[in-house]
Amino acid sequence: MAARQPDGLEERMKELDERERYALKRLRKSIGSGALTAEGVGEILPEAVVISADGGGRLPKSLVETTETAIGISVSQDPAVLSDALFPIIGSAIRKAIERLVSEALFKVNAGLEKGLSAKRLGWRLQSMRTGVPFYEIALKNTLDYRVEQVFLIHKKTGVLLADASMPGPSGIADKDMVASMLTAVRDYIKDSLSLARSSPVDVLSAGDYSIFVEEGPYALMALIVRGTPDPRVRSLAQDALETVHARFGPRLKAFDGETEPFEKAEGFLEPCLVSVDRGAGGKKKPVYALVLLGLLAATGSFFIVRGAIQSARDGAFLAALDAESGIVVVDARRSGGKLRATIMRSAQARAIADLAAELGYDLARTDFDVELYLSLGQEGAVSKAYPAAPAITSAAASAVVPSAAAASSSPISVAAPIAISPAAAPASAPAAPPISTTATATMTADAELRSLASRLAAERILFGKNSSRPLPGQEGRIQGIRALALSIVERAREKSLVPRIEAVGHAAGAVSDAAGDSFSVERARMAIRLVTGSEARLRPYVVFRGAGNAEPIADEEIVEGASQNRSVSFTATFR
Amino acid sequence: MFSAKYLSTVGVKVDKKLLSLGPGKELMMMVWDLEGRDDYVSIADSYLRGMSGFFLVADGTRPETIDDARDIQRIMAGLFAEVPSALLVNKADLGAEWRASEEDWAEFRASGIEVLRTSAKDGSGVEESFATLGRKMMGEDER
Repeated sequence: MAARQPDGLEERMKELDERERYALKRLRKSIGSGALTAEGVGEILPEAVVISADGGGRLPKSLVETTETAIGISVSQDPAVLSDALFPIIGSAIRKAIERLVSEALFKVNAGLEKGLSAKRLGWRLQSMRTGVPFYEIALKNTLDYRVEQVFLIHKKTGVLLADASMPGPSGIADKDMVASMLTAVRDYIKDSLSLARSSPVDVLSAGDYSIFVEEGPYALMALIVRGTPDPRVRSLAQDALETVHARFGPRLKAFDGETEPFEKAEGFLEPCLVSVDRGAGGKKKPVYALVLLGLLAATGSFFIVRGAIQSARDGAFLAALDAESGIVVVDARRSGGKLRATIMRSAQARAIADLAAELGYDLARTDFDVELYLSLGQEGAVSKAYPAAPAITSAAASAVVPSAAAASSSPISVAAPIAISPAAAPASAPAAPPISTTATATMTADAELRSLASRLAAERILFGKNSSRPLPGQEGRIQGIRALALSIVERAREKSLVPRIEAVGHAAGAVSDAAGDSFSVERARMAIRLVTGSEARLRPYVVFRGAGNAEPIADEEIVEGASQNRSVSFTATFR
Repeated sequence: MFSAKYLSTVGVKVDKKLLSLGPGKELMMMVWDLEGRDDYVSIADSYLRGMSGFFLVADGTRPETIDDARDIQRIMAGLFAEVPSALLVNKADLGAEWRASEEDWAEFRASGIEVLRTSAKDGSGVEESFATLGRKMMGEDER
């Protein structure tokens, strides 16, 4: 028997059933639809993230990779978005870093200047050169005296002293807690007064010999009470210590409630900042090495000064003697590059510079003379008068040694050096004689090579045309050979500590008159010297020339070869 | 340790107060004495960061200073609602010149703020005041 249902109930149930079916249908649809699922997740996701983060769950870790990827995509799409977002942070960090760098650089320069010049600096320079370490670093390391007397770890927000460390011995600070608080107050006061941002650092407070260096962290700051001027290393130590403290006590610092006991262990992290550099203590020890070094430097300096003074005096005396010499004018003289450089005008008949140097014991090795030859007497007659001895050394005595004193005795232009006439200058029939015939001293000291060179030089001639002081053409090679020989003689002689003397003798036998002979012989000799020395300054101090006139025929004028030899210039080399 | 002139220069003077609130209950207070507020000087809120309690100090011979204290209290209540405090009505030693009355600080009492008479001159009420505030800071309710 079916129970009778109230009116409308069936319709009501049917309606409910349809609603339920509709709801189920929507549910099925929503489950099957991705969009609806995303919508649903979107509603609950924020709350899920918060719950997961609060519980220290895995969500933050699992999001790391996704977040990094997202940042990468953002940067690749538009770097400006991220840079704008980070600007307030990065800008401040960069500014702080630059300020620190500039401050430290100024500090270094200032420290270097403050210390000024001292004897030690020379040693540091040498050390810098030896080790390659920049000079300022060595100077800083050696000059800064300082002592970090106390280090405070202060809670940033409250100004409460959390921990401290201090150097052994009495401290000038009566109450560290109050100092820490007052320091915090003063820093706040400075920031407020200057309208600085809360994050702006107040790094250094200075008074007299003392400075308070402050390093600031997120929850705590470190204050270093320093006497003297510390190097930048101190700041680095403080930064390291502060980072360690934050790493170790970060959560406790953040939740600080006034209880300082947990931070007692932080003292151990502060102690490395208590550094002291006292150069004065080291200074009590005798700086033996520095004194020795300074002594050596002083001795070396003195040696050079004294040597320079002596050399200068010798130069002066020699130049004065040169200048006083007849036929020699010192136009200009100066010492540079370790050499005495002088411009000298010398008459052909004047005494050789080398002779004078030898007489005075002056070393020409460190000289560079620019000798210009000129005819000081100007008149040919005077020239011929200057060498009255020349005829005496004629063919009759071709191989003879004529002591210069005899030759010079009647000469107004003294030729002090012994003059030698090489055998080659003698008639071909003359017996071979030693190539260099000089005074005893030169003969004994000239070695075989020198004699050989002198002999070769004596065999050389520069030929001239008749009634002409111009050399015959085609002798360039010969002239160069004579120049090379002359140079070899000079260099070899200098090696042997001898003073060479190369004399060019002009010949004009057969000239139409004595006057013409004198003139041609001098002019030819002068031309020969000019050609041989050329631009070779090394030869100039050692060459002389003279005219033999027409009274010194060296060959038979009747034969062609002899006639050409009579219109030539021959050379002799002598040594002292 | 620090001179009173810090008050007029830096605007604060720091002192330290050690209290014994009972066996094993030592409390060290770092006391930041801030200069008073008037029309020209405002409270430097940077000095208030991280404080654990505060006194408002008025002059019993000048009731208008209690009005100033009331103004400050209203500001502080907005900034530091949970921080315990007490009103000290100073110069209790000057009985003849005393002008303040219970009505002047009734509002403080109504707000649950302890009001204490003190004398900086003879020290009366000072220790009790620190002890009262210290206990409140330590979460101990005397009542």
